[in-house]
Amino acid sequence: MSLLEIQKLHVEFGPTEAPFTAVDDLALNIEPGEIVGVVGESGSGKSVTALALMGLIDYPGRVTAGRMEFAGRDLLGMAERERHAMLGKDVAMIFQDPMTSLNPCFTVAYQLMETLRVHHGGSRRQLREQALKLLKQVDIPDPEHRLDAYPHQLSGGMSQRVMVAMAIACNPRLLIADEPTTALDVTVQAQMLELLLQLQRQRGMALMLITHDLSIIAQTAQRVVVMYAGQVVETGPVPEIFQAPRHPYTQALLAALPECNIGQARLKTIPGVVPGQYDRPGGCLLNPRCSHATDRCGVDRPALSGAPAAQVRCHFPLDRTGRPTGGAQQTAGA
Amino acid sequence: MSDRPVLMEARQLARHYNVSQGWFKPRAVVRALDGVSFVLSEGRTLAVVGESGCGKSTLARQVTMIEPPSGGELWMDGVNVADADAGRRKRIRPLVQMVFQNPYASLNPRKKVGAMLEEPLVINTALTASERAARARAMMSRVGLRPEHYARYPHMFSGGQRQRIAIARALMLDPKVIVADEPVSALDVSIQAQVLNLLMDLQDASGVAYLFISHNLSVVEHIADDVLVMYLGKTVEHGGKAQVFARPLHPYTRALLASTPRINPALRQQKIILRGELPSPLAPPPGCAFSNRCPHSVERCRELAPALQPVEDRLVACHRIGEIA
Repeated sequence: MSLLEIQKLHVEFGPTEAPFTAVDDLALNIEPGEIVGVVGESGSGKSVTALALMGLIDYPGRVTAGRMEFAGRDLLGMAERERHAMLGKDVAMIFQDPMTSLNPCFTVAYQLMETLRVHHGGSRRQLREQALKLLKQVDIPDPEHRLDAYPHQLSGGMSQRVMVAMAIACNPRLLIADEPTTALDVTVQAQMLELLLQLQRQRGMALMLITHDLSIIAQTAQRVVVMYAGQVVETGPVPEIFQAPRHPYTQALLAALPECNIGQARLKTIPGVVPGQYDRPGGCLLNPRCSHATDRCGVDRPALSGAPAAQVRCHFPLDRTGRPTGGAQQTAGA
Repeated sequence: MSDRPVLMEARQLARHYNVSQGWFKPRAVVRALDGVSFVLSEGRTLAVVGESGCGKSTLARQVTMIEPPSGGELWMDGVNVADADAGRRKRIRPLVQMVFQNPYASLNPRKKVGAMLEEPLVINTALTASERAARARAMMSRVGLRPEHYARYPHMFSGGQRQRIAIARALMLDPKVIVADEPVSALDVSIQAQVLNLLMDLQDASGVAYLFISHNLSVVEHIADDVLVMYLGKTVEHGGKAQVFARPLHPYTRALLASTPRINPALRQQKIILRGELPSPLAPPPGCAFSNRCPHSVERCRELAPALQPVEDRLVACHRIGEIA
C-alpha cells in the first residue's frame, strides 16, 4: 500500500466564480521509503501542494481532493485534532528559509523540546536528553553548547540542521523538504543533501524533495514529478526522465541549463514566462511556449496518460530521440 | 591575459572594517577584502566565485566606488580610484555600473520604466528631454523590451523583464564595466537562460566587460572567460575558465566543483564533502583560512598563510599544491 495517495487534488484561491487554480487535478503516490522529487519553476504549484498536504492552506484557499490518504487514513475526512496529532509526527516538513522558520525568541533546546513534548511528553530532563541526541544525529558540532543558543547565533546551515532535527524528532514516515537548500551555499548544500539522504536510509522514511533545481533531483531522487502552472506534466523514474524526457517542457527545461550547453555560445531558451493568474492560455498550458505546439494544443487540454510509472501530459509525447510522436510534425507544417 | 585593452586593474585591493564588539572591548578588524588583484579587459568576463561571506560583494562595492578601499590600488581609465579626488571619481563613476541580484528590490516601484532609464542621463548629461526619451527607447529595444513598456511601472513586469530593465538602466551611460552581483540567481531556469544570453549578446555588441559575481558554478562555466575563486577575503585560485574547470587545483575550488550538483552522471565528480562552514571573519584561523576545512591541511597550513603564486597556467594560494596537484 502506498504511504501517501493523492488523487484529483485541487487548490483554489480567490472568488468561487473565477478562481485561481494553484494546483489542478494533481495525483501523487509516494511509497514507503521512496525519494520523490517535485520540480518546477516558481508559480508551478509545488509548495502549495506540500502545504495542502500538511493542511496549512487557510481560508479563503480551498482544498478539494478525490482522495488524500496517508497510510490508509483519509486526511481530509479526519477530525482536526486527529490531523494535528499526525502532523509533525508522521508527516514532517522543513522549509526553505531556515532563518525565518525558527522562532528568534526561544533557544534551540526549547524549540526542539516543544515538538517532543507535544507528541511524546516526558520530563524536562528526558526531553533535553532527546534534544541533544537529535542535534548529534544531524551532525551539529558542539551540540551541548548549541542547545542553549538562540537562532541568531547559528549560521544558515546550522539553522537548517536544527530544522531537520526538529522534523525527524518524532520519527516521521514522510519528510517533506520544500527547497531545503536554496538559501544555502553550495558546499553546505552538499552537506545538507548528504544528511537528508543518510537519515532517509537509516530510518527508511519517505522523502518528498521539492526544488526548482533539476540537478539536485537528478542526483538524489528515485522518481520525479515535473509541474508546470499547477499541473503535473510528467512523472518518471530517474535517470530515464533526464536521458529521454517525454514532455516538451521537461525537455526545454533541461536544454536551458548551462550544464547542457557546454561548448555552445548561447543557451537554449524557453520563450515567454510561466503564465500567472490572469494569462493562463486555453488548451495545453504550455502551448504558447512550446516549440512543438500544433493547432490542437491551443484548443484541447491534454490529460495525463501512460503507465502509472511514467506519465506524461501531452498530445504528442516525445520519443527517445526527442521528437514529437503522433503526427505533430505534419500538423505543425500544415 | 589577452591583447585587448585593459579597462580595470586591481592591485592588492583591500577593505578592512572596524567593528565594535561591545562596550569596553577593543574594536575588531574584519578583513572583508584582503589583497585581491585582477585585470579586466574589454569584452571579457571575470567571474568572482565563492560562498557567502567570502568578500564578493565587498569587492563589488569597491569596484563600483560605493566605498573607498582601505588599501591597494584600483586603476581605471588611467586613474587610481583609491586615492583620486572627488572630481576625478565623479568622472570615472559612469564608467562602472551595477546590476543587482534581486530585480524585485532594485527597481523603484513608484517610477515608470522610462523615467528610471532616463535618470542617469538627467544626472550625467546635458541632453534634452526628447533626446533622453529617444535614447531610453533605443536601449529598451536593445534589451528586448517593447516600446509600450516605456510608461509602465515595475510591478507590471515579470522577474525576467525586470532584470532586463535593470540591465538597460546599467547600460544607459555606455559603461565600460558592468558589475553583475548574482544577476540570475533570483530567476527561474528558463528565464535565467534568456538573461544570460542577453548579457552575452550585449557584450558582443558593445565590448562591455563584466565582473560577474556568482555562486552558481554552472552559470559561471557558461559565461566567464576568467575565474577568481575567493575564500574569506582572499584569492585562492585565479585563472582561465577552461583551465580552472578542467583541472581545479586548489582544494577549495575542487570542493566547490565537486559540490555542484549535475544532471549528467558523467560530469559528477567524486564527492568531497567539506566539514563545517566558513569561519567567522572576526576570528579567522591563523595560517591558511581554509585550513580548518581542508582535507589536505598539515601543520604548516595552520601556521603560515600561503601566498598566491603561479602554478602551471594560473595563480594558486596553497602550501601543498606541489604534492596534491
